[in-house]
Amino acid sequence: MMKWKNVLGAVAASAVLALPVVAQQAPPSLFSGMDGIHFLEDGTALPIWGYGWVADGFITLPGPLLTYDEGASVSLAFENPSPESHTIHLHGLDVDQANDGVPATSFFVTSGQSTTYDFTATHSGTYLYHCHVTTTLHLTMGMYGMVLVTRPDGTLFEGGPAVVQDVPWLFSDLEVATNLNPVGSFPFHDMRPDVFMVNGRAGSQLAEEVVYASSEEPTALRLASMAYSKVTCHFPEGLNAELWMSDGREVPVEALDSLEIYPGERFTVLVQPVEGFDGSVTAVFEHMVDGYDEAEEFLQIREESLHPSHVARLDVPSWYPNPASHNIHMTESTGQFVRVWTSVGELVFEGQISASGLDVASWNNGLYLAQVEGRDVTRFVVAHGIR
Amino acid sequence: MALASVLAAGLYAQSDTLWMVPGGVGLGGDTLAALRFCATPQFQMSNETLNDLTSSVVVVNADSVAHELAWTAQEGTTWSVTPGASVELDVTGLADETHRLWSVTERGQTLGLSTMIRSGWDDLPHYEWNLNEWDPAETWELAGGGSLDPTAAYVPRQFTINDLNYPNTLADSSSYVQTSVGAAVYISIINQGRMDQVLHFHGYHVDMLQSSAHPNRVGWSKDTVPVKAGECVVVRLDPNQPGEYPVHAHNLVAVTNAGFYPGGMITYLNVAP
Repeated sequence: MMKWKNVLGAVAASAVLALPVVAQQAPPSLFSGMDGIHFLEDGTALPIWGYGWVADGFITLPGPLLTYDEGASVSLAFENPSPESHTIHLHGLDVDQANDGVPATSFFVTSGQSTTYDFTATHSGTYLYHCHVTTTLHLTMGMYGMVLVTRPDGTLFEGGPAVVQDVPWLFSDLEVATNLNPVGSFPFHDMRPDVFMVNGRAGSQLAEEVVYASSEEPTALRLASMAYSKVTCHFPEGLNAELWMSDGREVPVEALDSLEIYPGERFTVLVQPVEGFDGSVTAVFEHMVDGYDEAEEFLQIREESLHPSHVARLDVPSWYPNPASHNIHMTESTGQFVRVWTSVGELVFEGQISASGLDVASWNNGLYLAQVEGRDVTRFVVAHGIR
Repeated sequence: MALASVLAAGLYAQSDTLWMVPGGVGLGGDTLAALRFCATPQFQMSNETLNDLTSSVVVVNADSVAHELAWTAQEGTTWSVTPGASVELDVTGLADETHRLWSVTERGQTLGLSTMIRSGWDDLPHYEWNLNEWDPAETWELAGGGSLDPTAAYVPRQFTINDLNYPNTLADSSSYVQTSVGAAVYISIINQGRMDQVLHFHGYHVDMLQSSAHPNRVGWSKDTVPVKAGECVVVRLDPNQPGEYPVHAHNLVAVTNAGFYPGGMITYLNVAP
């Protein structure tokens, strides 16, 4: 079973989730593409390869977040309409050989083929997925994403603490010259990344994004790296950061002021800031060969009472049910004018909200942004066939 | 003790004696100058590892220059060994750990004079992975009596397990793990190189038994294991499913040979039903 509550709670609380937390179909269906575009901090449109939802028809950097309930039997559908072979390796999920996504020991998904990857999500935690074909190149081109396996009761693991929201931070990097000319990227050992990202964003792209975290209940930072660099996160005092999990397994609880994350590693860090906390987690990217500090990214976290619309937000009705598959409602909104966009800004509806709400039965699965006249923009998800 | 006296007296079993021998190797399309700890005075491709020692190990310098040796069982102490001389390391009471023995000289480090001496964890099959990375031009510079330019960029282009790169790792019985479901094994891993590495295990998590850089991680269950430069790590693999699964560096420049993928630090776990 897929899990919505916690991750979507993070969506509502924070725009930092540029990680494409678009709705996940049931059964989920990914595709691979080699014709995507990713916008860098300076506005440069960079070619990428990657994954996207079949229903959306476009790929993203990183790929869509996959979420499953612990214990779920998963059949991940995958189509490859791109001109080259790809796979999906479910990194850390300890799947069997046939579903491991390594061409030499399982199989290629060649151009035009589709398949499913079948596995059981045995342990809650933070995982990754990526292409395992010419991995050195396909990863830096953008073929990766994060997997979250969560528990219906919101606890990190059996007997573990409950969290109010999950905040996925996927660290990665790329070398612009390689993306511009992947055929000319040889030799691979000479690769030197020059863009350093969190959830696909860097520098000023992260500057306006803030995670609002409760001082009364823990927020789970889901940290994972697909970078070619070592990433060291520095947690400021007052954030009360504690390490709880690594690589999908419980570890002894440890107070943190910094944490090294090597390529492929994952950690779950709980934060519970003091009242009035307003600071940043600093992520330092360091070159793996010579130890050179390549970049710093700043991930802002504020205690939730500092949210600019905190007081008003308590009275602002939200969409329900959310996710929705047929009609979605907002209290005290009948007759009001609303505009709705997809997550990439395509206007899909404008008009009055009827007494039965908005009929989304024919809408594609995905994340939508809605603005009821006179109110802040809100978000909801359309997901058909949720179990 | 002079090399001649060691050879003549035959005081030590061959397995407890290491010779520091210069030579050359072919690796992933490159040729490199090399120095190895060898089981005999003859040069060998991979550094010889030692285990279950009872009293001492003698290290004989068969190289043409002096070396300064260090090992992790006695942090802070080094032993100078001139050409033709030897040094005897006392291993009495060695803790049950995996240790690193290496030459701290620039020549020794760059040419790969570094190996593993382990003690304990001998109740199960025990595999040994010495990780390293290589810049062929640097090895020839040092072999020719030169020194490294400290301002030059370090760009290694060969990455090895037991001084072999993939696919030759699969021909090495200490790199290629072969076991069966329910039959646990130990794997000792030492990063003998200058850059940090991180290994990802497909198919399984492993239990951390030793981590010299992260002692707080003993007892953790991991699928992706950092091994910092110089670090000694021991893990236990309890295979719970059959199959053939890669283990590889996840700093993905290190899974190449002279720039070509796949290569470098890749080996496999072969688990019979």
